[in-house]
Amino acid sequence: MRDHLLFRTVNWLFGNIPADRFLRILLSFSCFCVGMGCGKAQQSYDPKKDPLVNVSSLMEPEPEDKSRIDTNDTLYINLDGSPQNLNPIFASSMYEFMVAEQLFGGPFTFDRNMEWKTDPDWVADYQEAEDHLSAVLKLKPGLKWHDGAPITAHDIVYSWKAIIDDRVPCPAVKTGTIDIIDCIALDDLTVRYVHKAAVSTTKWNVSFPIIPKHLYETQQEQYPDLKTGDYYSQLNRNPVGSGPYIIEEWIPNDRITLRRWEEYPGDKPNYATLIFRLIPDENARLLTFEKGDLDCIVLSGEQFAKQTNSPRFSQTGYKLASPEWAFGYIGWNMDGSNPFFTDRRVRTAMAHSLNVPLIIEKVYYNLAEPCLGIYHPDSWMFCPDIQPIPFDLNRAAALLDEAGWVVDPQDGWRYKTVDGNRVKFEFTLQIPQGAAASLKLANFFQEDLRSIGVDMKTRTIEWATFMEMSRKHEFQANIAAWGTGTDPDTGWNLWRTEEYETGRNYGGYSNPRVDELFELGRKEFDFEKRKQIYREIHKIIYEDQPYTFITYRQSLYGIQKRIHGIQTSPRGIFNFDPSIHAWWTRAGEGRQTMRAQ
Amino acid sequence: MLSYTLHRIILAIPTLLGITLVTFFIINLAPGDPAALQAQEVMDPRISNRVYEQLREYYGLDRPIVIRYLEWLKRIGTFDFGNSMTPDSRRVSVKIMERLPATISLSVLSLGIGFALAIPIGILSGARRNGWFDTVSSTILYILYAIPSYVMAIPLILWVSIELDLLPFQGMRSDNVAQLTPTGQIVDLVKHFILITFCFTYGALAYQSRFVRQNLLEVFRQEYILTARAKGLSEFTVVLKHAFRNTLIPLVTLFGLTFPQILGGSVILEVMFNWPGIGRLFFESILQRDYPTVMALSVISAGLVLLGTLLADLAYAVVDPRVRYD
Repeated sequence: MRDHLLFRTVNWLFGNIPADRFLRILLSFSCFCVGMGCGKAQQSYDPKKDPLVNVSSLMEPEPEDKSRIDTNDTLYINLDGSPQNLNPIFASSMYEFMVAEQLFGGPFTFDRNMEWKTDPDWVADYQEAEDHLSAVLKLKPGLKWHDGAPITAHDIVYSWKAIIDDRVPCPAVKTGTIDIIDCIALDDLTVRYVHKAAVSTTKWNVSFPIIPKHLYETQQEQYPDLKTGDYYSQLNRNPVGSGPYIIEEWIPNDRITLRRWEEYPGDKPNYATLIFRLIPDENARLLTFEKGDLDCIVLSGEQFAKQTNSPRFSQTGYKLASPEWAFGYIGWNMDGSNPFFTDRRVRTAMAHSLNVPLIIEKVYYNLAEPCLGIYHPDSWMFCPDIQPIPFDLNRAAALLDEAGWVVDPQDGWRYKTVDGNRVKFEFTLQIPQGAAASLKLANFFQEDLRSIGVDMKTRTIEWATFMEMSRKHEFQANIAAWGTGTDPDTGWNLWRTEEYETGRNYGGYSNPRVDELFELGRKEFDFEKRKQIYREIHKIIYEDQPYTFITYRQSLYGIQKRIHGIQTSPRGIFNFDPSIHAWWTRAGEGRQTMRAQ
Repeated sequence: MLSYTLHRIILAIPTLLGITLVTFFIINLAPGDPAALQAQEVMDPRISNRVYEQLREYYGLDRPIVIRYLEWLKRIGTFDFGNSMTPDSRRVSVKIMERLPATISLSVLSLGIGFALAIPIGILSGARRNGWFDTVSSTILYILYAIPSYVMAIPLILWVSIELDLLPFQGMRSDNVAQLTPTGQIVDLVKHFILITFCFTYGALAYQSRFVRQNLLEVFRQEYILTARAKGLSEFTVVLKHAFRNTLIPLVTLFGLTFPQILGGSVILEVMFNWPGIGRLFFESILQRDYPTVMALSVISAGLVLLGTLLADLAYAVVDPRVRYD
């Protein structure tokens, strides 16, 4: 047990140090650690051989016969950060979305494949006009807020007005919603949306959250931001919603308890109580899970591969790895502020120099896939014709030679004469603080670049500063990640030329064909044609290599064995319909007693 | 005494002003601002600079920094700390009040236990210098002093909470607390306090008891102790009445310096034990560039430092009859 304790202690302390370097430290300091750590760390992890991963019992769908389900069970879900506010129009982080979506329903939602759909519990009818410039929604009668007041078309109109109001600070839901130029209540149950332009993404714009007018309009004169003042502060933390759960208690920095709303008009969820427990430390989270006090936690790659093979874990839980449509990248600044990365050959050489297979094994424990561009291979936008750029230092060196960066035999670094000055190929990669995996990856990259005469330095920067420098284009190269929007049109802000000034095209990528294709994709309503457009975008951007694409990441979870009915989506297991609402526990297997932890 | 106190309080005002001025400019001039962070929070790339500008306007960040500082001063004059610049926009005073019970109870307990144990340990080991108690306690305390509390916390949690399952280690209450009897609830609360209080206390305990011992040894070298012993006074009277009383002066200084820690908290321990304390609030506020919360906490802790030193100075007069403030 002493070994065990020591091993875990050390893991907790040095979890972020690369395993091999850590081993060296360990070996030099204490010989009695040798037996326990060595073998484990050098063996590479293979999730396919792990008997606890993606076990079919986790995915077992909910039975038709409800008597087989324990409908009084409590589900404990971990949040590693606290929601700030439960009013869905102010939701801005994962934490807020996760809780708020249990409390608020709406006429529109999307499924695990990111397909937009109407919610049959809310919608009697939804018709888009032929010209795509307007749409009419008919609500089902009898819908209610948690306080019993009826949900009407006026609530929808009110919510739209609140969101587009400049005085209401709700950055996350404003975009999109402001492209609706009018929202009119035709009667108590009918809403007409008028769009700014006939584009294929309008259906996403109508999916804004709905808040109760009768409660929010009362002090609006005094506090037009719907946020400050005691009244709104209270209301936003104890919201009156319309979803399948009601808020029961919010203990700051500890937990949020939700109770099933038995009057919910649609399919009621299987768990009577839903508790979001806030545990910020990843090790404490795993220990709490192993004690059975959490039902679902997010695992780090290292925990997934190396710290969950104990009997303690396998007695209680399974592991779930699900590919996300999210990718990590090294972004190159191509705006001309440095002499290196405006040249596509140089960027391609960089991609040839990144040893992705090794990084997947050593940094991501084989829990990631090589990234082949901005869209995921499972998505309809992915272009199967692209030529993957393999790790090949010889080709990288040849490309750099071709681009004029020639090795100086005296010191081994590459140089080029730019505007009469001899410039050394030397740049800095900016890494956000706390991104331990990125730091490890950068070490491998640095070594390989050095072997072909390129001098890469790394610099770790605190997150707020990192973002500020990206926004101001003050970087040569930086490492970051993008998640996926629900529609590929969300890439508009990343890749179009004019978004260098106002959007998130930080590196100054510019390709007139890509600009044009994004315009076409927005205006196209025929799915097949749209598909071809985004596939072309995917191919061009991959060939242009504005980023060196690293890996698609996976979401990793630990889930208690008694939970079934889990579905995965390109964004993990939460934030789509039905997500948690389809989870279930077999009758008789629910939490019998809530143990004191 | 009264005029001295008033004089000190008046002197404290420019000091406090200086501290706020420096803090305000440092935090505001650090790259990034709350608007940018919130506009970037969601991975949705559609959020544009327009939204960012609106947020800046909402928080008043579009105005010159000097004006913002003056406005902040005006508000602070009425003890109004303003609204937080995080997405919750709650009143800063409410956010701080929410964290106070956890922080103050822990630090008062820890300070109390620390001094309550340090003084007898220090006296015992000082009085019998190099005796068995001195050697054993010194060894143990030196070892403890050398181990950072967050390192100590890990085996404690793993051993006491996980292997033996004796004490909880997350937060301040158990899941089933509502079903417990009032006594049961108190027991539950006490159990949650034990591990974190230990981790909070032992380092200071080691330091403080060594401090008491050292001062006592210093005093023992004085001639009046020799006199007292020569008079045939009992060792008890010599140590407690003559020697110990004279070690109180440096101890009071130490207490005055420790006093501001009442609101300090510890980010790492609070995260490990999931303790809802001020340390984490301060740290998170800095990362989120939540200027009003950072300023409020800085002012409070600066105020406490000034108050601590003032109280220590006043206490000198109580413990040392030679000190008079007239």
